[in-house]
Amino acid sequence: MDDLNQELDFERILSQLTEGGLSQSDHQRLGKLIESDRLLRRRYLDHCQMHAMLRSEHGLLTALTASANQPLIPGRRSTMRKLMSWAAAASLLIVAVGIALLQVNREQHPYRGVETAVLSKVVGARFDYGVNGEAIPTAGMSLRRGLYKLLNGVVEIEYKSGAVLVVRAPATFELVDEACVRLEDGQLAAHVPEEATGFRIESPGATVIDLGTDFAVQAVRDKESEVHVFQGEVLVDLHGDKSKTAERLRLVTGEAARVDFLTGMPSGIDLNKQQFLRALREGTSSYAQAILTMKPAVYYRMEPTGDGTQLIDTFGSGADATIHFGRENMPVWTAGKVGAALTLGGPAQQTYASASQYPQAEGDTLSVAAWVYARSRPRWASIAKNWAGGDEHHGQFHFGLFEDSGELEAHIIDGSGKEIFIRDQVPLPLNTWHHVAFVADGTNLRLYRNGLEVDSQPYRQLHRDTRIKALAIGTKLNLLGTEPEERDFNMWDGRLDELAIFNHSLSRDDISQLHDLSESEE
Amino acid sequence: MSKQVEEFEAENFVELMTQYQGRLYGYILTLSGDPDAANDVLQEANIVLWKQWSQFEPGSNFKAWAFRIAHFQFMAYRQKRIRDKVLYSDELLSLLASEAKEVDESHEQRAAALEKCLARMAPRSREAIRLRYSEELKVGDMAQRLHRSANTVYQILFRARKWLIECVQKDVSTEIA
Repeated sequence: MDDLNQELDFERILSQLTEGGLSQSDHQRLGKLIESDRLLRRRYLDHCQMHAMLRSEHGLLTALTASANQPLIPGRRSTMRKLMSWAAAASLLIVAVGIALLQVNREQHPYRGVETAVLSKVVGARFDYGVNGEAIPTAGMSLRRGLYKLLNGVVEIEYKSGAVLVVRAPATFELVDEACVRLEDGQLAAHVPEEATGFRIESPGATVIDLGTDFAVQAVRDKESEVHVFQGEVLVDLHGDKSKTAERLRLVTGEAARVDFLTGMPSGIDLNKQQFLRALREGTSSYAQAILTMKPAVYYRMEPTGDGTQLIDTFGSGADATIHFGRENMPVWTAGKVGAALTLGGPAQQTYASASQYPQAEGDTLSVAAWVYARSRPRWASIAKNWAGGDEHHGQFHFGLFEDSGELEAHIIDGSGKEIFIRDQVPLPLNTWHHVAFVADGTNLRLYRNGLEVDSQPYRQLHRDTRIKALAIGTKLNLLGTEPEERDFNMWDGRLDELAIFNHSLSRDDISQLHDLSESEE
Repeated sequence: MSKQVEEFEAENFVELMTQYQGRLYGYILTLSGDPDAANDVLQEANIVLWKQWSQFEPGSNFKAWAFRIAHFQFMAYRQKRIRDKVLYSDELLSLLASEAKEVDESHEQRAAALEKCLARMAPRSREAIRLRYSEELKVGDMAQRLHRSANTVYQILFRARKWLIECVQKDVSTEIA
């Protein structure tokens, strides 16, 4: 081969090497050329070094890259250095995560670093491996950096900066530092005050950077992330293969987006407030205040407390209800119409709650009110019942959906033993909240949905079966009140919130007020 | 180790790694002659550097330490690939390692010169570099974007890099003079 041809061949090989298309035979030929010729070796070195410097200059050696529209102009070096600084930090984060995972495999427990936040509230929480290996955490304990898998319940994590996170099981997350959490799988809601602006949530395909706001992230491992902004503003860095040229995404109040893990490309979606449990409240809402002034016999606000297995009777009559987990130990707490709600999975899950003793109405009046949200209409789905199956066994009331057609309905038994029955005209619309109530006012049994009366029937006297003592929530119990009635099951599929029972009658205005209150509170 | 010391140490590490990512990549690329392999080995070297950071003595030569670890990682990679045909002989690797470290001595000057040279490039070459490194386009995609053949794009890129190499060398020589 003459010098000219060798020169052309050498240039071709160098060119293909940089673009990653070098064949093995060309690679071997290159080796021979540069081994025997010092000048060619120097040119090879210069070529490799230039490629490396250009990659470094453009931030390509790490996870983050420069914008495609960024021109190559003087003065951009400082920008690139900043990018590189971020990029290196991101790269090191990956390194740290890798090390943490290695340690999980080698030592059978995850890495734990310095203390970084406090577990401010805990409801029915269980970790795979807690701060020091314990499964059941307690409120007030310090959380150290590292990877956590929340198997059950809900936790609230508070940072010195004032940032507060609510994480709902199941979730896998890593506390990276005082201003960063990596959410691998699951959901969390963040409240970030002005002092903590810049707090970051890293999730599959995206990093959400807070600009002073309330937002939430739902992550599906290796698949996608959703970002919902309830208040304020966030920036979303996009991480996928196709997003290297993409601008950051900016989301403001009321906006939401889904980011694909592989491509890093965002898609606009509707904000979904119902998807996230955003706070573990302890205060009293105006809806709750209104209910309490109406003097309920029992009132379940459906707020997660304690070990997460009880519904607390806020009125204090002592009729706390126990949650019975069904086929799966599913998380039962979710976003409610007012604060949190109990979420039940219908016949497939068979989760319900019951209070073994509750104060039945001894007079002829009774009212029951609640907020309900149905995902489907299981046969005879139950909101709340003091009732038992069989023609000879009745309790005081039966409140839920009608048979298979699923209209809202209520039953009572009058003084003559006659069953009084009221029913809505249409099946209960799915996937939305409804304020539902019935009132036995002494002369009429009235049914309300969203503040409006939808049916009524006259009755005389309210029957009470003292053998049926238990209150069932989300199902109907057997005569003994020990288990769900085998016939028809009556399991609720959806959410129940703010269930209140009054042993007196509420007026039409009372019902309307309750409906309007929670609408305005939202 | 206290929290402050740990954070200080982590910041030091981040700062040094920020400075050295491109240099380590250039070193490994020189040894391997394979951009994909260089990426993989760099990531493995990063992990080892982080794991051994506590053993690094402050004030000692970070470059020597980091390059040594990168070299070991490359040799481990090469050992794993030994069943594939060996592309570079041991003698060549020894030469390349030595000369690459020598070239790296002027890294700071060359990096500063590169910035100036990029600004002075001909628009067509500058656009090609932008597409290749900012947008990370493959040659085929660049060909479509520029309405040229793939061979032409190879040539444009090669000439652009060659021009930059010469420009940087000239600038560094002038600075030294």
